[in-house]
Amino acid sequence: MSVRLLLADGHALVVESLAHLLSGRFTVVGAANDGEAALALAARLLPDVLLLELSLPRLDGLSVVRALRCGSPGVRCVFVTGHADLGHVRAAFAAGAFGYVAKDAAPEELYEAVARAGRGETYVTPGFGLDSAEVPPRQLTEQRSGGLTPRQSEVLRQVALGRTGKQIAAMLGITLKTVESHRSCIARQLGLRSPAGFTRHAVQHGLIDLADSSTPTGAAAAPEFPPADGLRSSDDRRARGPARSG
Amino acid sequence: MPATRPRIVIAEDHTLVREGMRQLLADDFEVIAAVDDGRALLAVAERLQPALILLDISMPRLNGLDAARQLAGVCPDSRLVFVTIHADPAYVQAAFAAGAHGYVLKSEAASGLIAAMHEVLAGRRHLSPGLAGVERSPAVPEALTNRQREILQMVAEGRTAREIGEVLAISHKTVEFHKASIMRVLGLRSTADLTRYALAQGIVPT
Repeated sequence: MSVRLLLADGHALVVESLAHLLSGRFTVVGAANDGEAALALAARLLPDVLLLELSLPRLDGLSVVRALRCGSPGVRCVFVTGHADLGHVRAAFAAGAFGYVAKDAAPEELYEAVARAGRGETYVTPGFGLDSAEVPPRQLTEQRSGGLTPRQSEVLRQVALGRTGKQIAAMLGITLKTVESHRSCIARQLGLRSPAGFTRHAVQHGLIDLADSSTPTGAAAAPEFPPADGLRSSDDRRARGPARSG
Repeated sequence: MPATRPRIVIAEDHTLVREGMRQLLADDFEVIAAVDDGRALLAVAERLQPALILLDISMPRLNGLDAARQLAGVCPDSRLVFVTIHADPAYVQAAFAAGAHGYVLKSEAASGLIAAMHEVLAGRRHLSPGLAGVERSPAVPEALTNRQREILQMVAEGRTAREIGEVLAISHKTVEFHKASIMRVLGLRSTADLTRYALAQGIVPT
């Protein structure tokens, strides 16, 4: 029997486009343009699979998935989203999703994700270093929201603001080597490959504001994150407070 | 199905949306190419001279607004319709300043898009309901050249001077030269500054 599908995306044109792609292989039973409507329709129609965007008006995708897991656990959720970063992937599986497909994926990926969710199996878009066939959802969620320590977040923030390794080292009272090591750790963990990537990530996750001073050496606001406690490196011992605070 | 359907090109970076739209429009239009960024669009538009081009604003390598600015020189007879999530008047103004004939929000139904395309092909302008009038406000003068904006976008996407040079078929030294000029013009000092500027200006999506 064909998988019964419900679609939810804030943009009607996107919903209709997806419906065209899917209707030949699956049974599309309904469509919603916001999170609340998706939740209500899912509870009423009880589709096998709900395909939804993370960003939805009125109620975000993660909240929809969490609510369905309690209210209608038979509905399996697959995200089809424009957000393509590991933090969102982890959050999606932590909320109870069965699949995660980037909107720039090929249609065949979407078909595979829906078919798998229909069988109770998970699927994640390739490119995150995660193998959906072998990795159960739980393991994907171990490191929540990228899993950065407060110190790593602060280094990420300073890199994103355009400060050099030397400046960051001086500011945080640690050696340049420690800064470099934080930086490569962060890059690996978040899958960032360039300074511009740091800046984009920091802006997207609210670590820095686009209205922040754009002069790299200018008087910036005090770091939002307190220096980490309990770091083993002796270099970090002096880091008790922001060396510079506006 | 009409005997001859208007020949169109779709530029949209989300493959699922692009392929879905292609099927959606197949009854009314002949989709002669579908591409995923502004650079590819410039190439196919020059070669195929479509009657109409549907383009997204947020696209990698070259965004839709900067692609539109260059399309006038490449396929002057093609009509341009933006299909985007951005309802911000600043984007609408920028789109019409860049040469758009239509501006359709992705929150519209497919029937609305198809109607808009026919209207634009008939020589009229079209805006999604609710946006009417905003396109007439004066556009802010552009501080950067087309080439500088192309380079700025790719710098903000995290590409190296060598990679950018390969895309644009110029040397990495020329790229560095442009990057330095951009920083001078904008009064910025680092790649991080450039990236934040590009994000704030909508040259790359946040």
